Amino acid sequence: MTLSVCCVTDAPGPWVAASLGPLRAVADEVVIAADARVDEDTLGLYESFADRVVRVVYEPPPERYMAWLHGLCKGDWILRVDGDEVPSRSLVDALPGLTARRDVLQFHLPRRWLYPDLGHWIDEWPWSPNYALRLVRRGPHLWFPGLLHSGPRLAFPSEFVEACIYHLDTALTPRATRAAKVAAYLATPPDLVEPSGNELTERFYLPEDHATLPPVEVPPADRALIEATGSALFAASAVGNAASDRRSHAQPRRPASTPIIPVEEVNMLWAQRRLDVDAYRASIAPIDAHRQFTVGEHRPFRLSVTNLGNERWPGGERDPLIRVAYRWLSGTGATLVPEGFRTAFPSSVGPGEGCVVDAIVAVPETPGSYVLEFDLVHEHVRWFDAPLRLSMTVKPAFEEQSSS
Amino acid sequence: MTISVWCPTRDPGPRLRSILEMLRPVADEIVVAVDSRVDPALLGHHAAVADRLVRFEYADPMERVSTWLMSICSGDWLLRIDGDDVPSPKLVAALPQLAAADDVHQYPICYRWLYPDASTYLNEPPWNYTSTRLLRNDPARLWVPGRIHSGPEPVFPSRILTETPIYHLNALVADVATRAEKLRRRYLGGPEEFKSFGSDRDSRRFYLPEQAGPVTLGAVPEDDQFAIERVLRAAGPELPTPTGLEIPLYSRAEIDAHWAERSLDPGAYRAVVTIVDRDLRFMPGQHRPVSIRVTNRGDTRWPGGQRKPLVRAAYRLFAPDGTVVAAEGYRTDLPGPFPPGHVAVVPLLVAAPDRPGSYRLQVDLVHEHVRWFEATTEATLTVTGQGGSLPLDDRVGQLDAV
Repeated sequence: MTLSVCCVTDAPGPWVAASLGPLRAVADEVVIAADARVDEDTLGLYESFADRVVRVVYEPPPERYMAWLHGLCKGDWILRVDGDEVPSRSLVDALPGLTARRDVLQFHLPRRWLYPDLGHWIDEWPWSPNYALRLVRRGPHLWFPGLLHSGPRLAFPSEFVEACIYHLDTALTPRATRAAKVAAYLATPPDLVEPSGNELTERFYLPEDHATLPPVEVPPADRALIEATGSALFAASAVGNAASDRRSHAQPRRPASTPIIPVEEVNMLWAQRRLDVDAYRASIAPIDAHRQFTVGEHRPFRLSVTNLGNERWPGGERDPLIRVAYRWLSGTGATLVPEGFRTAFPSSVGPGEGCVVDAIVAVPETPGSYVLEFDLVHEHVRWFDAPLRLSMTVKPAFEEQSSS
Repeated sequence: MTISVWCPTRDPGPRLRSILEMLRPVADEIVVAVDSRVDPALLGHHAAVADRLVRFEYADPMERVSTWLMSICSGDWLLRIDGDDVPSPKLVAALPQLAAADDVHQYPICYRWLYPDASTYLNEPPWNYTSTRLLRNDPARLWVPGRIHSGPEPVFPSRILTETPIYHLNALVADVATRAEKLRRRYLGGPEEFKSFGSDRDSRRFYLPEQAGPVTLGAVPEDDQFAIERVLRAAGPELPTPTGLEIPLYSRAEIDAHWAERSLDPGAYRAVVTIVDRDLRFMPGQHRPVSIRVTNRGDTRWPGGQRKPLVRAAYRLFAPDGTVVAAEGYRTDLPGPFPPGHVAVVPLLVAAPDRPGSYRLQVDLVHEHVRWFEATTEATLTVTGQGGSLPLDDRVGQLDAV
């Protein structure tokens, strides 16, 4: 089993090198997506220790980049470490064993928030336990909702481990900078935020206002790793202020040779992207030959659905949430059931691809002749208006037929 | 990618051999498990076609052998074929390509009940369904509940195959009386606790299409019909088992160790539970996870999630005077499997009382509907006005900010 380590960052090169350095010994691949605003010197430092460096135009939320970033990785397992994090020694040591496991798909890693300095962490709620899904097995089960404060969608089976990642933000960044970050998070449109995801944002980032227990000392083995990163940061900053240094690269000092990935390319894999009107084209054809149901039953009716639009439908319960639905109409066209059950696509369906769907149908309770109309719906957005109408006969129950 | 074909059987050897020989060119491994009621001296046909031939001690329901049998297969993909199934030639030809796909975990395959002869199949409900017969051999995702009429647990993403059917011979190779007896014994009279929800509903129609009135039939394509008739023609005596061939007999205990519906013995209920978190201060009514460390000291693997045997973490809350505040606190699924000896953290969801004060939090494991583990650990939970509140649907690790 191979391991990719990935990171989206605009942090100074020495800092990232120190942060990811311990992982180099256990990672088969290190992939860095650099904020396009970083200068070429920083980029060069990234390239000196990463296997692959790409530059990308940054637009919040940061979760926009997760599906795209993980898609760049080739390893069987992927560990994401952010630019302001340091893996613990125990995590580095545990990684070969964790990535050898075949009976789980994901590992939740505890994040320890360092505060008020690099030698202490906050061991009280909500900073502890603060588990994050960071080590995930690559495969078709891996999916990112792309909402602010969301990680990969939980997949069973997973495991919670005790080897941690240290988060340096609250130890290194001035309060005013963190307060600005909180304000930016809270200003994110609610439909782009994980449900209740912002509820604890202020508390997390401003421990000086909320923490009440004495912080706990970092173990010596980890202290050395963290201080190496911290030293690298201070060395990289002319004023010794991490935040001001990190944000001073609004414009590249000189053109970088690595091409910049436009945000549009990233958005193609972002679950929260908006679809244009050309996405809503589809054809639906029946596979099942029968045109009879029995009253009251719930049965799948097999359909062939073709994506004639320009967007991939992810399938399942994934956004953009496009599903098969149906209506029951009377023989005269009157709508009897306007919103029937939904059926998810069993897999993703790309532009031009077809998919077989066992569309679950709840049959009316009264025998008679009906029209069953299938269509696709982008939930909470619109219908596709690509209806398939089938004349259906609803028979009495089997027992009644038998007795008669 | 390699393919294992697996087949639990009590069927006649010549027919079974004819079916499995169709798959020989594309299967990397054929595993045949013969019902212990079959004479072990007459397994010559079985031995001729199997890479691995085993016997198993039979007990109802038939589904109890599935997980065990899959566990002895070595392929990257698993294809189940029964002794009264015929894969269509198209399916056989497609198997290498299907197994090469990296974007799918399972293939539900169109299943066709032949009736009244090999030229037509029943083409209406309930017979026109798909059966998940081809699936990735991934121990993380593969789960079979083991109840009557249950197949593997559905896993996303899957791809439904309608053009490459499997044909079912039951109505052709068994007369009405035999099928009626099977229906009575296996489904209508079978033990209720092992039945899947609603599995009785269609059983009568499934097995006795003669009693279903007019039915819609579909025509079997010529190539498929040829393959089916070749299987139906495969007859003759059973052959003696090759001299010196060792055919292991797996006991009921060995098989049931993999069966989700098995009963556990007392040796399974040994565990150590400790509370990891230092901060157990809660807001009134707050719901949030408390990290506990769980060690499986027993002799049985707990599969986790909603899988059986359903072992979960739970808690009770007591007031300082010993009064029970919560006799049955929330259950928390184990996030993953716990084989014997395994240690991992479980985020136990705890609901704090509304009234401020100190409470005794008692944590334990429970085998649902069976018993508690009595591996309790305790700590003091304090309800104060400090802290924040989390809604019930909050998830662990939600704040994964960059």
